[in-house]
Amino acid sequence: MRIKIFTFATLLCIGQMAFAGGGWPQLKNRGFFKLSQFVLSSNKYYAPSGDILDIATAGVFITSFYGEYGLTDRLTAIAYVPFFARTTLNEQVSGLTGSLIAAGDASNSFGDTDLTLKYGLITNKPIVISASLTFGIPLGNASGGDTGVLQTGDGEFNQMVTLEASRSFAKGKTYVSTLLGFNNRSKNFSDELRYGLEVGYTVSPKVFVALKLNGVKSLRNGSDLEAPSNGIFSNNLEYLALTPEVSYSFNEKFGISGSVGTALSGRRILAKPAYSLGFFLKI
Amino acid sequence: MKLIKYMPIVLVLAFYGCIGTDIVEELEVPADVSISRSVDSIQIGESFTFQADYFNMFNQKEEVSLNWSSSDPTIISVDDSGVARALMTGHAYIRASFQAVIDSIKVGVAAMVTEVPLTERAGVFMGNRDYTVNGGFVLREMGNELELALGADFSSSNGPGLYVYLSNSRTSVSGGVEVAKLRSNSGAQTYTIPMTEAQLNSYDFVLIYCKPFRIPFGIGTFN
Repeated sequence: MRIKIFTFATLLCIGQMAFAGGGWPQLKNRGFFKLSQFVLSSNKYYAPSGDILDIATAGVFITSFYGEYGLTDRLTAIAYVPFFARTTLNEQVSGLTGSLIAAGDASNSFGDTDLTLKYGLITNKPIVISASLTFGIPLGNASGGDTGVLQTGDGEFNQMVTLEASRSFAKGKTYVSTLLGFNNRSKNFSDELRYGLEVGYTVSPKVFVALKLNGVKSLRNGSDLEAPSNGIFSNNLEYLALTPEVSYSFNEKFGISGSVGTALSGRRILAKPAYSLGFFLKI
Repeated sequence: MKLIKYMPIVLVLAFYGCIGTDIVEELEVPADVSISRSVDSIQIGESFTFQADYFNMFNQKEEVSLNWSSSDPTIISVDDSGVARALMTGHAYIRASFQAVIDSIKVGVAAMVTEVPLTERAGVFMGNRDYTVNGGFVLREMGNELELALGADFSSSNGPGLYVYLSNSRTSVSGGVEVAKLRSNSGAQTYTIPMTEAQLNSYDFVLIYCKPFRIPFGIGTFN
């Protein structure tokens, strides 16, 4: 689910962006880097109608690097690099006859990569606002596996503009961030409106929790008939996902974080939770 | 710090899975006999070969020895192969059965019959759960084969692993016939099916089906 499983993973990573920075750009020569493992395995699927269907179990396993680095006090370079992406499809065996209905399949490759420049529009006010331009580089495989239906990328070059606004409270112990983005997609895929709300709270000097609500709304201006054939899960994809995240800092620089993302509603995406675990470094 | 150094490796190894196995629980259905080649009437002195299919409780077509009978052998006689002969005017029911499962049709006999046996069926597609599948199709007998012709107005949402199936279910291809991989998601296209696999009336639906993920994109219903 070309599986837009993969895009789902990418979008969840946007949540990581917001967690790492939100409306605040990195200061010059400061950065946030994260090595993550993402896992999603599901035999449930949100059909285009929004109904949940049983499907062959599909899996997505992505090892990725995410980094933010302050080029200036206002300009931050961001990269999401899924340097190893594996998608799987379970074999299907009849419960009545025991016969093989369809063979399983798997594909390993590099994944689609996002490169972003974020600029702080308002940085010295209670509410900070930044604008980002993201380029989705189609480095993944759009037709992987023996069946050709497993993808680690959508094969299209997309450009996304994002506005993020953040405000901290209680001397920085709590913050709220909002995100609004427009994703311009090519190759007859529909453009997308993306939105998000995130609340973070510092429980103790070492423990931090956040709750993220991210959504994608298709503008339905593409063509289901002409979009590439991996479009079963990719074109006109929509969802509203809730992702709680917990991070623990070993010291001032290193820490670990974990999250569970669940689509509360959706169209053309998998309908099971996605798990992510990663180690981060702050400089 | 040593622990931190090695934890990413452990993390990666721990999270990667293999290809698993899904057990597909298919619903048992009542066994069924379906007369798949028939005619409404036969001219006196002429013969017609009826054909029927047996579908087992797994909805799979199964080769069995069917029993043929006539409700009135003085009007129409029928042998063990389904060959019927019209003897006198009137009508009779031709039955095909296997164990307790029966299908029957009413057949008339007349001195003069102008009816041509049905050799094709037409239908239209509609999308399933908001997938787009439109257009008409015709299934016709062509010698020892069936020809399935999708019309020039045919179009389908693009998707990976789309196949054409004949099926007796709107949602499943269990027990159906896999015709071929869908050649194009729009425009006229023709497929052939050996009549050893299906007769003109064996199946009720033509499905555009995403085989890898078991999702019917579109359902074609005969008129």
